Amino acid sequence: MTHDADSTSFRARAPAFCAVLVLALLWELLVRVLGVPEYIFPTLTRVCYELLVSGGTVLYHLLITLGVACLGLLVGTSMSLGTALIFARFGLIRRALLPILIAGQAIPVVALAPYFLIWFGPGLTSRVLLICILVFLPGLLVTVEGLRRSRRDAGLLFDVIRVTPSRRFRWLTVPLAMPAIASAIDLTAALSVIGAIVSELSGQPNGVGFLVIIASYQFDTPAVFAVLSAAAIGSFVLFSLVRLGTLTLRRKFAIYYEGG
Amino acid sequence: MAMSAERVNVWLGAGKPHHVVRDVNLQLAQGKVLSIIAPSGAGKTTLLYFLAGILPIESKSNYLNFSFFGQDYNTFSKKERVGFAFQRQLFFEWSTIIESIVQYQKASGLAPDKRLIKQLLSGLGIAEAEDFRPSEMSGGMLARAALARAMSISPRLLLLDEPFYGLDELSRSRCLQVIRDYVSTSKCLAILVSHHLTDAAAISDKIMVLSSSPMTLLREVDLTPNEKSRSLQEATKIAEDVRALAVKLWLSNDSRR
Repeated sequence: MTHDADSTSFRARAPAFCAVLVLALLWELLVRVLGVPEYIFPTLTRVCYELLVSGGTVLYHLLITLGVACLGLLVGTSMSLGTALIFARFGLIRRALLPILIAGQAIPVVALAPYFLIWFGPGLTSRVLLICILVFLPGLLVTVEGLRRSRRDAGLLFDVIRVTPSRRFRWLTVPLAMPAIASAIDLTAALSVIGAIVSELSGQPNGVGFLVIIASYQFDTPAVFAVLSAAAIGSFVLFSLVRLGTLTLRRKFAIYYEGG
Repeated sequence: MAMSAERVNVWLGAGKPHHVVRDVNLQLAQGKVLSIIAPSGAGKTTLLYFLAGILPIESKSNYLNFSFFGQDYNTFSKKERVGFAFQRQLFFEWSTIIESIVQYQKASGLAPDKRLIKQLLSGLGIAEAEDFRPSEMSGGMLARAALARAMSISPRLLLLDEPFYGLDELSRSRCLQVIRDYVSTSKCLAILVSHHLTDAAAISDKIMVLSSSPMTLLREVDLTPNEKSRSLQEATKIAEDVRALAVKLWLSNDSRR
């Protein structure tokens, strides 16, 4: 796929670099020209200075957040893939449980975060569970859709040889759903960092969310911005790494059609 | 007759069904090749889907006295493995051609037989393709790989829906020979749908000329029995006669409507 090769070249990335540069300049200039006070909206240079000074601390907490996010991503995605496989294989179970799960998703996870802390205590369990809850349903829905959308003409190839349902599922349905599964993983990767930070905001003793709470109590807006910028960069790196894996998955599980 | 069906009717589509196949009778003996000639979009593929037992759920069909080696239609469509070379060849990029055909044999409930696959591939002139992935192959190679896949499950019924898409003249005649030899020696039944009348003439024992919308049988042309594929010269001669006949029949059928 030449398309993917292109996207890694400098030429393909130049527009993004330029856009970042322009936005950074705009940020710096606007804040200076309008004379916005630092505790309302700090300049970019102030945020960078903050990052430089407390870089070690930020990095430490960022790594904790990203680590938790990775773990949550792993557990949450496995849960949604497993459930999706069961749902795709047994329609009755899907029809019984899917509406309940969708209704459950209407509850804002942020509201539940403090209770997770009370139920499971501060620590890994409550954080990972929160991420799982956040990523489970989107991952599930995308995967279920992919598993059900087995193409009719692909199915015919197996219909004419009267294949058994279990072989059909293993050799046709699951491989055909791989692109959708890749999309589900992409989606949950982006969500998992948010989930980790949300759980930390509600009173965990470390992580990016913890730093944000501390800094905002002290009206230290440059520190809040510095931490959040670091989190954005970290989550971008995590997402890019995941994306590398899912791109390979998409390429490997391609289908070829030729003719009429 | 190994396969027979009378007054086959097929309607497609939910809601207001569309009458695609009307009152088609069909009989075919073991080791014989039947070709189906009809205008584009007439419903040849639909008829093949009926004969393969894979009509879509939202379709409707009826027929009289269907028999395939004594099986009724229900048993046939549940039990009998059909070799089908589809118009669109589907291959998965995650396996090489030979892996993919081996898996197809396993999916059919057969023991994998790599020797047979290699023999088929080299017979069709693509011996080198066994370790290729579909993205490394041309359309013509994929068409032949699909043919090999259909024959690799040793079917008693072989259905070929425009199987030579993207193939040059020489490769086509080679494939026709392989198909004809395969049908004669394995004593299976084959039905070929093709727009190339010369292809049909080269290997058929019988050619059915059908009309479109709905597709009805206009004429059956019995050819002199043959075990091998006919020479290009002979096939061209037959094809010309059949073409003249088919055009005449289609025109008069059109004017009657």
